[in-house]
Amino acid sequence: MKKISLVALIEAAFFAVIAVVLDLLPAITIAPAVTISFSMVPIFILAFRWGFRVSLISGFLWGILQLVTGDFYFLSVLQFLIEYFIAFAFIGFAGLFHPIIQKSLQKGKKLSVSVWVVVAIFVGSLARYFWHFVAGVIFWGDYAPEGTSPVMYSLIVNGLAMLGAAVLCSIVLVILISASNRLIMKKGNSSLTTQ
Amino acid sequence: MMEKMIIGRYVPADSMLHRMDPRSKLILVFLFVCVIFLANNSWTYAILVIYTLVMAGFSKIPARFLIGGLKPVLWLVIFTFFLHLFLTKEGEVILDLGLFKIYEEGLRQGIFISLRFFLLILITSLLTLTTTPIEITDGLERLLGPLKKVKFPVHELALMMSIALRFIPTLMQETDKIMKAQTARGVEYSSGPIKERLKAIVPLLIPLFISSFKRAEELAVAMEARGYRGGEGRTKYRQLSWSKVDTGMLLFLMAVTALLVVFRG
Repeated sequence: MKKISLVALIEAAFFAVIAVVLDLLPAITIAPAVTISFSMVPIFILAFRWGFRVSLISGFLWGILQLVTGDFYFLSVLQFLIEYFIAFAFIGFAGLFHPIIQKSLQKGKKLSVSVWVVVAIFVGSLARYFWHFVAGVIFWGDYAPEGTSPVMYSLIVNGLAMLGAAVLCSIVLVILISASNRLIMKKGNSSLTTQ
Repeated sequence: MMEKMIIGRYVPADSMLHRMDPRSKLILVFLFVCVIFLANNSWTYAILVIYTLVMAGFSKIPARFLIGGLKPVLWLVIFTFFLHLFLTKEGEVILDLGLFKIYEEGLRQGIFISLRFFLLILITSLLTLTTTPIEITDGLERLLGPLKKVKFPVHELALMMSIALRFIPTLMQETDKIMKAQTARGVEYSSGPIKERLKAIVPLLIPLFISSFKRAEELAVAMEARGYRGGEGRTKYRQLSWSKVDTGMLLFLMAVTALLVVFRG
């Protein structure tokens, strides 16, 4: 297993912080009580820049930073582990598309870059919200309105949040990348790797 | 933005809790989180409340800091209370409001669960109020050390954690600065139609990302120029030392746990 370069580690730390900071900005409210946030954007950028492992670590770190910033809900130990350690790290699954995106980027195929970026974002969001859904069924079931089953309730709440976040992140990222593709393009910084 | 954060709230003081080893504090908080679920009646909750108050006393932190840290989550505690108050339908009816009936069990559950929540937050904020983020990271790195054997990147995570904590204020300022600069050019961030606000995100993110890349590269060069080569054989400026107080505090929590087991119904 190749060691992750120091620059990648530092970028992962910075981008986890940016995710936390973006979370604090006023969120975009579509309808009352439905807010979506684009705070996953930094993790996705990292996923397309460095690949699966770096984005996994960065997501994981973002989860830990949520604890330090006091932005968390605690119901039980397991819920906590699922929603803050596993779920956030799973955003990193977007990084599985790193090779194909980099390849399209080098060939200069703009359309296929955008398509794969959107696919990757949906996979990453799905991977994250799947865990929120699981936690929702098991631990937040008591909070479901009467007459709704916990499964339905969790599916609707997390499904909406997922769709909103994925769509918003896709729009933002496609605009970002077409405006400046050096955000995800890696220069030859092999000289900076630690062995 | 900074006032929303707990981390900036480390209160320097010379108390027993401040002098404790971060490792023992982390273990204590972890154990407390597990032990708190043992409580299931008034006696056991009273024991937990007394324990938490005693710990708060040891920390010598003025009450207003403690309460200030609780404010952001206070509404959630209240929400939890009312949720259980109205949704539990067991036991005798103690209050009939027409539309809602309040049951005995609901009141009990409401009080217990919101109290549990409250105590959890109080104990974790005692940890962050008496321990610097760097100490917490050091403590975590040492505690998770055995995981290195299964190839878990403990050192790398600890390094990233300290970098992240160090740069939260810096990157926040950076974001703030860019937002102000763009606001001066007429971009609106907190109001306006969705399409306009989406457009406003781009001129915020691009400078923020690019400057972070630059900063990351500079930091990496600076670290490697000083001979950073990962965790192997790295020495520490701050040494952790386990003292009698740490052992004492652990024994104290164990005594409390024993009491909880005896008194729980």
